[in-house]
Amino acid sequence: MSEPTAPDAAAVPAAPPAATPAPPPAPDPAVVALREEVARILGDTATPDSAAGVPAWRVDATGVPDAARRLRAAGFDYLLFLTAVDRPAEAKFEMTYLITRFDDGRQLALVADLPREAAEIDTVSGIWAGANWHERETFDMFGIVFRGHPYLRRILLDGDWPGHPLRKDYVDTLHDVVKRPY
Amino acid sequence: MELKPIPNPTPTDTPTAPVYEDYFVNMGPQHPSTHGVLRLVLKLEGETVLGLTPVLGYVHRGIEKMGEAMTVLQFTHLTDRLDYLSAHMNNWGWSLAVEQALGIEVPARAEHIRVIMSELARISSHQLWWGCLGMDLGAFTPFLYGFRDRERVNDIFEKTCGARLTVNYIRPGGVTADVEEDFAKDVRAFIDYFTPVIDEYETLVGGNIIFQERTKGVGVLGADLARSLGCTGPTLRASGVCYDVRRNRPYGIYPKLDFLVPIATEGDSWARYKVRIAEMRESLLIIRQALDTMPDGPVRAKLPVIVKVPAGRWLGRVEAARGEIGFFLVGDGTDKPWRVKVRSPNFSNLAALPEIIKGCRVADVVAVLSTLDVVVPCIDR
Repeated sequence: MSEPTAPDAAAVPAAPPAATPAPPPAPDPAVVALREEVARILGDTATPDSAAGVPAWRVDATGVPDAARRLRAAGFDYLLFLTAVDRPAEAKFEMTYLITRFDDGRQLALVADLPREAAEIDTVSGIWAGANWHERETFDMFGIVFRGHPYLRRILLDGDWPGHPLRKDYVDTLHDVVKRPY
Repeated sequence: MELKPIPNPTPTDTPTAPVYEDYFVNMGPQHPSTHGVLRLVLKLEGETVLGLTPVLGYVHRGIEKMGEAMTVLQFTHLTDRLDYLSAHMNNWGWSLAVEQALGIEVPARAEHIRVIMSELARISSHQLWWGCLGMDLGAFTPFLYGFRDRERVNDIFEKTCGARLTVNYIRPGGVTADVEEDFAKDVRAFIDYFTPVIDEYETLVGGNIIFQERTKGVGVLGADLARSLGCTGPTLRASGVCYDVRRNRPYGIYPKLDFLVPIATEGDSWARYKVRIAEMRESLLIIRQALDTMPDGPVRAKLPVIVKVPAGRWLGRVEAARGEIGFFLVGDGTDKPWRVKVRSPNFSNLAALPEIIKGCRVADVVAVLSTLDVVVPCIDR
């Protein structure tokens, strides 16, 4: 966006005020403290992610088990869930780990990019036992392979189900809905 | 903190038995004690359970995929269909995620109504659980008592929400409509009626020696395993971990309310029973406080005509009747979510079952499953 113009530029149509995004609210002290704490735990292996909402850090896909181990050792003992977000435009999956802890419930997201073709990542089921089923579900829905997983099979769908439904390019041939113009 | 090694969960497979004495029994998918369409493959040696594999997905409806095809307001009603006994809390969790994304302030009256409705839903859920627990262990009477009392809660829901089960009442920005005029009177009458009935419940089931024999020391879930698996709700609190989203990550008006979080330390089925009974009492106290302080005013904040989810990741976490339910919303600036993920408490709680059931008897499977209190549509989504 350009610099604000001088008031005499009346010929220029003024930008609609609704298009200007609201200024970001003052940073929450709890979030600032969390950012400092996580920076201490993960060091420079993780970079803070700028997306709004849950405070997030990006790590290399190969660095996920190490980051998970460090977080767990630092008291983040509660893996809320893990899942993937399909980004076909960027040809990647965002593996997202929602990690929190049982005492104060502070939450953070650990995000790692995987290439859409041949998406593979090491398992974290040895760090949080609960990751076992969540990784099976992510495999089921996205086809992401978790290396070292003890029992990587489909969990919600049938073993012979074609494709992985939560991928954006998944075509449901079974319940093919006719698109009508109205 | 020293890291303790986590016992590696080795699922029992369903292949050929190594020796002919082992045999496999399918419990479900149509079985009265699984409370839904859940299949458990038991590996037995005589009467002893050597291992157990839950087979999920019989009621998988693809709710997360459906969420990507509809607006955030349209998705609210689908959250009822997850854990239908915690419908209000599910609505609330989704609303929290949307409200965070849009930066909406909820009116005070709506916050009070949300608390009252959610705690009523928690009570009604525990009433149903209590009745079914008795039924699973061979006592028919608790089932009738539980459903008799649950009817009163459902009547309150029906009067205000128009529905008894899939209520779709709490919505982003507040609640659908103000409560009907008899609401406070009805709720107070229910509290007065139900407070002594809990004692009756305890005498009828908890005081029964057969019930105690069948639950004490059965299906012991250790605190470390429960934390590592991400178990929540009464299942976790019965293992001695004091974690309640209402207390540890408060939302709504819970910080202003005075209530206790019941815990037990044994981790067995009996402890889970005691925690749920105590939770019903606390919920009654919460409802009374919320009713006493309920202000007048609007019940719904103004929402934009077209709700567009800004880019980012949003997470709504609430304490449902069975534990922490989380709604993860990934927005991309359009009116439809890019990704919706439901973190189901039942999914994580059920993951404990194969671990804690080893060495129990076949009849104990029913007791443990019943005190874990899983609702299958929430697991399968």
